[in-house]
Amino acid sequence: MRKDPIILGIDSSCDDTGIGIVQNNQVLANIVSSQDAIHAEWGGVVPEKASREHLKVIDVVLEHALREAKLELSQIDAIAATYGPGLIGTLLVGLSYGKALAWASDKPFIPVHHLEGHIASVLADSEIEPPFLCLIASGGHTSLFDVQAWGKYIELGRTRDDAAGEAFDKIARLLGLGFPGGAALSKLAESGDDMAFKFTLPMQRQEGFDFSFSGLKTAVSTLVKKQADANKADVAASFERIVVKSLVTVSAKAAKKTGHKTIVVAGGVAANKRLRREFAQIGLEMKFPPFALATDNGAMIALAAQKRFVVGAWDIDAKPYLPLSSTIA
Amino acid sequence: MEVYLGIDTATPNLVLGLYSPQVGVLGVYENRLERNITKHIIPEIDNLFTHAKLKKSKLSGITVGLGPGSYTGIKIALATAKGLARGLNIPLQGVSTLEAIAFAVLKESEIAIIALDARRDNIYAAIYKKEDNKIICLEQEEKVNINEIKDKYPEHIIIKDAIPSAIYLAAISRNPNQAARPTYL
Repeated sequence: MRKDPIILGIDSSCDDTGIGIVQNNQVLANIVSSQDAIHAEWGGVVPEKASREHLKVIDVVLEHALREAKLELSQIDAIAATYGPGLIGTLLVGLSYGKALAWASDKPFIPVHHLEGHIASVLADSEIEPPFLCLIASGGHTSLFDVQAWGKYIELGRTRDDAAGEAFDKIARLLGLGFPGGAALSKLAESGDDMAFKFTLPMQRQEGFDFSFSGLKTAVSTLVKKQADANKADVAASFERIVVKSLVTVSAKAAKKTGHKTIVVAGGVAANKRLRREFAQIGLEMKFPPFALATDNGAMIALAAQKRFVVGAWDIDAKPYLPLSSTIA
Repeated sequence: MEVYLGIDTATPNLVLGLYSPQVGVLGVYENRLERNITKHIIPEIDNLFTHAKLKKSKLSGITVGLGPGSYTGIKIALATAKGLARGLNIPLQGVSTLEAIAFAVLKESEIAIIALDARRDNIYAAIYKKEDNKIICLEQEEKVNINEIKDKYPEHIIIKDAIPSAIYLAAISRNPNQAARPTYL
């Protein structure tokens, strides 16, 4: 029997340089070089700084990943990289490096859509077959997909403004929790009264499955300005309650419409405890990627690439705006 | 036979050159591709080897233009060159893009300010002299106002936005200490 291909995946769509290696859903390595410290000073990701950092560390991250997997480059069967969506400058670094590495070492190159990577992250050390619903909630994206088959994705809804993780980070910054402070905000929320402040649940009357978090963000910042003595833990808990309720309510509605019994929650926000607790209460089978694969990483790109072995995509360009449906052959 | 590849995309041009010290020029590619460089860089490198009837495994080393110039262009060239060097297990070195332009445009014994547009009346500039077919740097590269540099060096002409010589990059002697670090001015 032929052995399953070993695939190396690269993601540089935003501020983390990720390189992972997988073989038949098994994650052999997953190295992520975080740039949080570089962007903390500015309170957000500075695209030009991010691109330069990717270029500086990408070859070091590759060696780490190969060492972790105990493999030589010659043992890798294919190389995959994110070609969109994301920041154009950062995408170009991983894509250019990946294409060159693949061409030079005579391996197929597989361009991967970043969100398909997030969907495939649930395959890590696990088995799951479509159809299922997938909610991707991260610092850059909040989208709900009807995953009908591998390679066949229907976007049911998405955020009309801020991503859920972005809202977490912005409120965390407002509360003086640093950048990125989403995780710190959730920690603080655990000790707060989630009914202390009554924020409005966004998008209640819509027919569709979209999200919106900028109104909530404004409401929270207005409150903090008006009531400087407002208990921060209470603010965090009340804010988190609404974000999670919005994600869960819209997902439950989508499950009802599609009839899917399983929901995959991917992206950095999937690590949120309250989100996991509330999703457990809507009667769907839940699947989460392992934590290391929830935030941006290269292993998820390699997992997605397992499903699409295309050879000779040397002329692929980076695409900062790229709907997932456009990748379907 | 040793074969070297030169790459530069710090200007709107994709320039590639293949050179062998034993044989001479094996192939050159020059095209003003502007925003389409990412699309064409690997296919054109592949074409260069096909036309030269050479296997890529014969490559001995790569020299990449480090800029100054387009930030995006610098990163495409560097990321590509790093990937190629790792994939082929060959050394990579970097040389100033302005120096590679100087080689392309200067006549023997000529001195000039070599410049690239840096927007809002600014230029990336350095002063070079060609001597015995070698490039000597007289003033280091910097980002300056074009009128200020005209006033400061009225004796020198400014040669702006010319195309770097990829063959100069491919043919330049190897310096193992010359790390390929991008020049963002």
